[in-house]
Amino acid sequence: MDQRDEQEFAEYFVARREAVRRTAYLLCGDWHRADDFAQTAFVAVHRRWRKIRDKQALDAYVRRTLVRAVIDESRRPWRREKFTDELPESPASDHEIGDAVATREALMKGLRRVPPRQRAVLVLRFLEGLDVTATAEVLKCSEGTVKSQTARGLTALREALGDAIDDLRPAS
Amino acid sequence: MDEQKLADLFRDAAHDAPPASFDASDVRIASRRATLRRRNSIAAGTTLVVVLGFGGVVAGMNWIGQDKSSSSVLGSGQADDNKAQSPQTGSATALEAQPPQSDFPGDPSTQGDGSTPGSTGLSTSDRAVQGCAGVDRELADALAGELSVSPEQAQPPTVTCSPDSRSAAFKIDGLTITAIVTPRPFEAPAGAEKVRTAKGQDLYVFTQGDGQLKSQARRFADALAPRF
Repeated sequence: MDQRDEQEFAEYFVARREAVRRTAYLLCGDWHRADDFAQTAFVAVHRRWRKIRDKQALDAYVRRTLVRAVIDESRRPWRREKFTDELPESPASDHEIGDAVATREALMKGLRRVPPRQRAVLVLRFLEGLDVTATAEVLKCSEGTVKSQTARGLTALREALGDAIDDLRPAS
Repeated sequence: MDEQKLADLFRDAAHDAPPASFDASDVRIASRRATLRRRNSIAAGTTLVVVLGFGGVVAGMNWIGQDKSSSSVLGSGQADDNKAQSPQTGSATALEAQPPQSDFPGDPSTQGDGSTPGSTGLSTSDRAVQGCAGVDRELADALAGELSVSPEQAQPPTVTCSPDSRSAAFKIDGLTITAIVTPRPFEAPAGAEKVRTAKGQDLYVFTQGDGQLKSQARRFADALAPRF
């Protein structure tokens, strides 16, 4: 890339790095791995910077690369996610930390128990704020699939959280 | 369920992010490294394809060449049992294309493949087709010794005889002395001396013309008979 392209990429990187890191964190639940996934996505964009004519589609390209990287990683045998009731680290009691932190911890634990693809749908819709059409575009699937994955993801999240977060209880 | 509250929960969960462990320069370095790795893999793949293709072509040409050479060997008229007859079949492929060697050095060959021991000069190929049309070198040597002349002066007789006969003639000062060894009946000219040879064949010696040795045909016949 020439100097101008490098400058454009640097500006885009500064503007989007933290958002991409947060998305990666909710997808994988670990900041170190989130940085790896985010860097992988930015490297992919940097390598194809001159080939991407529509700069407005950069965000979609980064999201797609990120989600694919996380899902692919979760499928690898040595990274395959296992659902277990016993966590490797015993959580601190709720009275030792604030309610906000407890809610955050509960949400992250619940997300870890949601299957990767459903988790990606939830993150894209509720963190990134994408609608069904945009989410389907990022995941390269139909809108019906996005809707069904959203419903199943929320159900799995509710089951994982139990009564930890009242806001996720289905409206009766 | 309030989607807005759920969105707030998601944003709040990822709110307190630690400092990033990478920056733009790290991305650039990793990008260049990945590009270089991809180019190297493409170059290695291309090289492998070229090497395999070249090796395949060379192997194919060798295979075709071997096929042709084996076909030419089989078509050279040499039967497989010739290899068993040859006492020196160290390299069957090399020897197959050559005429078979004679197992018995003393046996006169009729294939024109070598000289007969005891004879000098003219090859036996001449004798194979001649009868009295050519000079038998062994007989010429013996007769030249009796005449005290050079064997190189030998010449074919002017008479005809059977193809399995051996003959030689010398012309000395207008006198032609001819010797013929034949296993078959021979109509010799008048004055010819006939003697039985050691091998049971008939030796005829006669002279034509006029010269000092005209009356000595019998002496030459007696001298040559034990040798044939």
